[in-house]
Amino acid sequence: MRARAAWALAAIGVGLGLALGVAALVAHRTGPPSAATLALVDASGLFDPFLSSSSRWLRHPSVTERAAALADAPDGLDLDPAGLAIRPDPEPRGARWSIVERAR
Amino acid sequence: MRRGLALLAYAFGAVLRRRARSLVLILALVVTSGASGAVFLLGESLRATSDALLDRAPRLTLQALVAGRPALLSEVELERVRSIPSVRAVRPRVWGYLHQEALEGNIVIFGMEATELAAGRAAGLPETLAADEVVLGAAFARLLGFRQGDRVALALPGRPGAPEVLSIATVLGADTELAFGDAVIAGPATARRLLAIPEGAATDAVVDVFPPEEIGVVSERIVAAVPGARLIDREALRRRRALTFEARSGLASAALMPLVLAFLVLLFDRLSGLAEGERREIGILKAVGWSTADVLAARLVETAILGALGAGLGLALAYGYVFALGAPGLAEAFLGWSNVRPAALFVPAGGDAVILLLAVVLAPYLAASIVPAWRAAILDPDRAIREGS
Repeated sequence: MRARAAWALAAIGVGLGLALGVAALVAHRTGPPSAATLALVDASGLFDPFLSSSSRWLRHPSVTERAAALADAPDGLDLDPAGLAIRPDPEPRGARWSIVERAR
Repeated sequence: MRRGLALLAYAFGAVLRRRARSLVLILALVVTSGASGAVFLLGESLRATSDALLDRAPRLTLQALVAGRPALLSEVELERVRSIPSVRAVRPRVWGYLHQEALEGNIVIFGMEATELAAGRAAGLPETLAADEVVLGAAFARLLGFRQGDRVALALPGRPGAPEVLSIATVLGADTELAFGDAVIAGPATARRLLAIPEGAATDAVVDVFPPEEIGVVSERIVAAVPGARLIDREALRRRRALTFEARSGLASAALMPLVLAFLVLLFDRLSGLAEGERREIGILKAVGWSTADVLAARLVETAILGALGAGLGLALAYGYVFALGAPGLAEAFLGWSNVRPAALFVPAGGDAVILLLAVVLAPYLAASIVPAWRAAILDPDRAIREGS
């Protein structure tokens, strides 16, 4: 009985140990970008990660460039042509219209 | 103590006796937690990378708009901004893209003054760059096989004539690939020539405001001084970026919902359908004195053994898939299809996120197993033994 109980505990321990091991590995590897990268960010002022370079408007979504596909929404949520199913930010951006005088 | 050991021993024995069912459930949990874990880890690591770089971004960036499209800033406009009180400095930037059809991607050309090159010394930038010298990002250089000291010809699109011949002063280290893997850094005059930006004009400008509390007022004055000005505030970007990443990984997670639901249905079905042998087993246990609570606890321990093994293995595989292999298949969905792309250099998320994920995966699994366990535990022993024999 004791041996089986020990095996049961070992099985649970192995499973949780694997998960905690992953957590520890991730925590161990967590760190800021290299000093060299930060120096280049300071020097250039460009800070978007180099993730996608296929379209210009994907490369630096924070500072859209000339003739970008969505030039009026720097780092906008709808950068992807497919868009998002639900826009999480209901607040309108940009110029807001207000009525100065009602028509009679 | 003795009761606890007996429950554990019985539960482990049950896992071994019903090997096929146990294996199916562990495999299903490995797939579910592995797929959810991969999406979660990749999304979180991208967010961590982005946040870390955003912390060093300029607080205020000025762009010009003409006809609703970003345009070049003129020297006159820059002077107007410099004259606004509380504007400590205005740093015009010359940068832009060159699309490389063969690579299906863009490279970023950036012009740096001597002061900016000095600020980037930690990255190995030279003190000065001659008119034909450039510094290349690691990913771009690796892709084309360029090395320090090479002289390369660059044919500029839309500009007939002899190609630009450039010397590679140095190649940035792989540790800068996270943000500058596709960079081509040149002197300001060279960058203007490559990008066809006239002398005096700038792609955009970094505005240094002091005290920072004045940013709101200064922004209003800049908009009044530069028609069509657009200001990009770092703190606004931070808020929007958090929403963007949440939406993206939320969509990816939503795509995994059918998988999770299918797993829960499978789990409920496997645990609810008691085989004849199982019914007899439960009947005998209750006949020899096991209470309903004992049977329930034994079933839940059995589920916990399978859950811990499956979820742990799934998360370990997800970690290896994302951080060791670079998430092939999934990374393309997040990063696009360009050939100019970073090597697997994601900054991983914090370890606490993994614990949270484990809880998120295991909670519905354990919840879905309670009802079948309860139904098994309340079996009438007499009926269970008769029907199970």
